[in-house]
Amino acid sequence: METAFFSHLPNHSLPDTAAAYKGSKIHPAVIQAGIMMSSGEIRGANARTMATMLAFQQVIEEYQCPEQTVLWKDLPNHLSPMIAWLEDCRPKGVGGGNAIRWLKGEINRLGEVDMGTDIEQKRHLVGAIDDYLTQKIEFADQIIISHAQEKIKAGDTIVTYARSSIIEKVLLQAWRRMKEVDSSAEFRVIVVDSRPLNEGRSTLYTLTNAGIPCTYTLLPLASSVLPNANLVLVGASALHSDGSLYSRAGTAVISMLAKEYRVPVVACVETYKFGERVSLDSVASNEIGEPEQLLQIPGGKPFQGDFPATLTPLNLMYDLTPANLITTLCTELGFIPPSSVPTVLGKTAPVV
Amino acid sequence: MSVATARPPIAGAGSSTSVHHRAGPSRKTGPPAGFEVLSVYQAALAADLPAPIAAIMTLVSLMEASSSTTMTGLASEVNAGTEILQDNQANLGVRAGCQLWERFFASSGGGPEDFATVKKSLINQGKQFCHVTAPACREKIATLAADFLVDGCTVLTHGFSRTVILTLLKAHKQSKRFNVYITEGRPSGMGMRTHNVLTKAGIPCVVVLDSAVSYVMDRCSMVLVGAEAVVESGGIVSYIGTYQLALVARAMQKPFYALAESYKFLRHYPLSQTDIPRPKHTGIPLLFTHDILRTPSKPDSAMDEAKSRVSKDVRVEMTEGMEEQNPLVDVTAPELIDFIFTDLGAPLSPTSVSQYLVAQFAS
Repeated sequence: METAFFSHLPNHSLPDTAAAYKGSKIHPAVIQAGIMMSSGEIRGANARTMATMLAFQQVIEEYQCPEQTVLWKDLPNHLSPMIAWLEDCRPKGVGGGNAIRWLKGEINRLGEVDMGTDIEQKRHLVGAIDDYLTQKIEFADQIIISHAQEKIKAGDTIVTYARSSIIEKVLLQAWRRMKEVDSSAEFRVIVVDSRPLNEGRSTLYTLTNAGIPCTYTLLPLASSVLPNANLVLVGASALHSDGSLYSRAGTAVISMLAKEYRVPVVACVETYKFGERVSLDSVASNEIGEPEQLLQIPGGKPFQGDFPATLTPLNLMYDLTPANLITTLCTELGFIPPSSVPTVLGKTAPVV
Repeated sequence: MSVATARPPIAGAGSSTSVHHRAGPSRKTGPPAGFEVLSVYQAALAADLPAPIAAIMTLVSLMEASSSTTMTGLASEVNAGTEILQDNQANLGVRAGCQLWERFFASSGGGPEDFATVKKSLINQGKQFCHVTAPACREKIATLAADFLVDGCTVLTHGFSRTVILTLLKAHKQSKRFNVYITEGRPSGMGMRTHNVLTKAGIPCVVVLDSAVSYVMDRCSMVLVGAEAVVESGGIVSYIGTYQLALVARAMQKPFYALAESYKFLRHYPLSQTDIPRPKHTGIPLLFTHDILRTPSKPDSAMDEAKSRVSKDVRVEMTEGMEEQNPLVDVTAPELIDFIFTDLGAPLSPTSVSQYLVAQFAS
């Protein structure tokens, strides 16, 4: 498994839960969130960010500031082993990183602005976390959904890849809206999926339950369904400042094919997932999934034993879609071209 | 609509019927009684104002006619006026103008001044914008763009654009010698009007068929077009045929320049040619020339000859159904545009335009 080329990437391994409990430095809620993220029970950038922040909310609620220090100085120290532990379970990603950075800033601010007693300060932080999640994820999603659904017209064929919580919501809402206006109007969804996670099945389940006509196919056949598509909708794990999209492995292939067939690609992404990093390829930063997943043939015997010396299974979880393959980003600020990500990040002053 | 520029909810704005019958019983949801939004708009257009400015002018006049005594009341009247304009006018510039006024309106108020003062200052600033700022925009663009015309060059332009004409006139005044090819610009055939203006000024120009674009492109050194609206992608929505012109220009490696005033910036991101907002009531017939034999660019003798050749039982005109299928504008992708000249300063690449737009709308 170990090749020098990918050795810098975080390897997927189950965290040492017993040690975490024994060390008593990590709150049980954080341990639980970590395990669920590690096992894949909590998947997706939004779900993981929410789980992390809600766990921290519980930590803060139960936190008692020691006598000899003040809350804004001690709380970050209290949190940092937990942040490290979560990072061990699963790299937190750009969105999660932004949220944690925000939380640290918010704690720091307590040193500058007088918020009253410890209890009041804690209450303030708990409330602020609630606000952050509502503003940056829930409300943002609602606005994104209302924007994105405008692009879905009756008779369209929409292609989506794997699973994204927001894309599911966009499609469901668009369907509901379309049916309200004209009960005979329809659109069709082609869910393109891929091994080893097959997350698209979950999307397929949600959409077919809502009565949306769906087609399910795997990535190798994407080139035969894309020529008939009107729109490609993808979600995102993160968005780099050069406008490139970091998303589930396979998204780049779909986007390349879409460009080839001149189908617009709309990436739905909340701005809290915008990161300042620039990445040139999918190798510089990525995550390695369990190699066994790749070698496990569906329906076959569970894979056991060691890999032959000449075999290097590589199960990268994400890939990078260059900005020029993405038609537009649907964010809570409206539709923006990928080239405008730095403007949103506030890093570049507007040109005029 | 973003969070920042979200329209304030208006009672009853959802029901388009009450908005449309403006003389209807529920006065609250319509513009001021006796104020005919569309005829005021048409009058402004007739005074040779560009569509976005005509739209703003209409809304300013609406505010003058309003008898509302609260900001909310005034806002809902303005919104009703905006809806009437947008539901009836195909020109995307109207939307751009309305959006601009809406943002301007939203940013006012909230101060300590009383309603009458705020309203008065809004009206004054609106008028100032329409009569002073807006005409200056076009002047600025023309000055900028005229520098790009060099002695001995050949310009290809599409149909009729006031800004393009002003640019050409300006360059002519600078004693630059250049030729102009003007496309006919069907269905309106406004290229002939451009031809008239330029010929009167003494600029050598020729009108060519819309279908002859690739034929003449080789001889041109640049393409100069106006725009109805500039969209968030950095592309332009412009008179039908512009996209085609841009494609041919790209294929033949000629620079393609668009001229657009910043009040034409529109908050919309088209994903395809069909993804442009359309008015609810498309009462505007597409004026394709019904009789193909009445081609304005052909001399009379040729026309008579052609007429005699066409047999009576062959249908030679478009059916109404066909006309409905034909668009008045198309979307030119940002990749095909070299520069957009605006009143914001140096010529902008389409990417910069969209960055500017995002910065404007996101704040």
